[in-house]
Amino acid sequence: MTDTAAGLSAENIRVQLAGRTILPELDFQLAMGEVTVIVGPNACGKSTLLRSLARLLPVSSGRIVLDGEDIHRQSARKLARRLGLLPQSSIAPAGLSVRGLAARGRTPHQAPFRPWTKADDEAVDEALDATGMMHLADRPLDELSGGQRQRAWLSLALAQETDLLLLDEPTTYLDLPHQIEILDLVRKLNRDSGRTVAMVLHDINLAARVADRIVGMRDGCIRVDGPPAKVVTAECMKTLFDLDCVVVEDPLRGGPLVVPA
Amino acid sequence: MSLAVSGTAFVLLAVAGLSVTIGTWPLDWSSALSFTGMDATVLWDFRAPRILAALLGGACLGLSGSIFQTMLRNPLASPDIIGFTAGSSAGALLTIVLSGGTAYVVVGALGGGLMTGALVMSLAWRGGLDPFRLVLIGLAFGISLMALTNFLLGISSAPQAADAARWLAGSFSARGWDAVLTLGLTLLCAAPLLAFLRFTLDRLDLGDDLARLLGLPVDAARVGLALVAIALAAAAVSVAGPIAFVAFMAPPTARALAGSHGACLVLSALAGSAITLAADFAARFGIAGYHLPAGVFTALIGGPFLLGLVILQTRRNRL
Repeated sequence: MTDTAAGLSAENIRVQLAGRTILPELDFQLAMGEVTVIVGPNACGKSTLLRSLARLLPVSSGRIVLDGEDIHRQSARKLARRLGLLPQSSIAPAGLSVRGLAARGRTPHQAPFRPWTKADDEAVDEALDATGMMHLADRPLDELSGGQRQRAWLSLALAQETDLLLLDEPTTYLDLPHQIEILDLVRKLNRDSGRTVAMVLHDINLAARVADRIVGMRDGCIRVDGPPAKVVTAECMKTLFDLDCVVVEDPLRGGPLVVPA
Repeated sequence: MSLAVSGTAFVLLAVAGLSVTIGTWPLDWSSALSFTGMDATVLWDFRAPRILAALLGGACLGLSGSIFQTMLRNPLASPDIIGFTAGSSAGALLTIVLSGGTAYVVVGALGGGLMTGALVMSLAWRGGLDPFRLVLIGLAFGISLMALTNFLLGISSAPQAADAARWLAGSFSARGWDAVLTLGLTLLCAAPLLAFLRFTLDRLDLGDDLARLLGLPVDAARVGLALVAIALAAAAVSVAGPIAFVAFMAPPTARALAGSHGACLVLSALAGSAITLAADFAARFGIAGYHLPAGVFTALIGGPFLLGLVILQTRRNRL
């Protein structure tokens, strides 16, 4: 690649899981400073792509490049300061407080025997502020509602202070108001601090609401790619989901709105 | 937390004091401390090393259990349940049967434990060390090693078999200063390694994915922690035989005392010491005049303990 500037890209990657090829050959470049949403039917390889980008999965050919360097050659700690991923389902350790969870996000900035610093404190406070969790900071995670818990996990990712943030279905198990709340928060994080966000979402209308760019996948390949207005069309929905639908204009925001037939 | 540590340490000292003073020979401290006469012999040659060995051995087992349970995120994953203690026992027994004495028990226990560890970990490895696979494979190894132990007992001659059977029950009876030295050195070597590795250990409760995403060397740390924990358990086994269930019981006790869900390494070590020392104390007086090995007492409370743990946890989850 000629472009060695800051950025994350997958160059011709092939990813296999348990002998099955999930991503046969995929090229993808994350647009910095934007919110990118990956959509597609179940088992199309969305999560696999996200997890490969974060080095949780090995690529059998091709490479993932961050800032011009193969991520599998970078130190795990260094990578963890540039890139954070919130997995689809995470274990909440019993009894851990919201602040304790956010503090775990400081791990890549810490080391054995190095004391907790003021910068760590500030980063955790900032993360709790941004997610609106300050007033619940001392509550154990298991006492929180689903929406609050998701914000607590987000504060962990924020305390990590990475400018690349990958989110794997951050709205799963949430009711609609809480889905909107999380997505508006993500949007705000992107606007306020210029964080680059890539996330997997299931709801195409929510994707259209929050995304600068939508990437549509099917069978491990990227089929459509572009801004919501270009990608959220009846043809594209047919291509991605075999879904017959009508796309109307969102009466509130003017964006596209999918109405299934 | 510090209250729990000092409280447990206090209980431990009290039990140790009692255990030193009370016995078939009532100890006269003034003459014992003047290094003369029978009292001094009882104190320095018998009770002090035995009690210290129980203390340190219990600490080794408590630490080992806490490391395994925390890093595998499974309260059942203590070395006495997932085969590592069984590996040490089989190794030690092999040296007893081959050499006709207990001279090489330390080598056998350490070798058996580490060999079992290496086998279990390499079989559990699937692009990384999967905690659940490790527990299952460890269990399978434990069962096979138990059969091997019984086989070795069966083929050994009568005096060897008696030696071995006594050793297999787990006891601190007649342990000397060499036992204290073995355990003390193991703990001294383990302490700095654990101080370094606990940074990762404390963060493994978020799950392997998140720990990796936070830049932690999950697999390397787990292998390192397993080796330290196996060495700790093997040291205890080499000195006292397989004292059952201490490694299993100490960590939950420590977590309950601290009201915390983390590893509680120091408190687990103290709890292990207290349980082992109390069992050894009970063993010296026995039941109805029969002297019983300490391992019988720990096993006796191990079953009800597990039952209590399950009942407590289901009750907590229902609330």
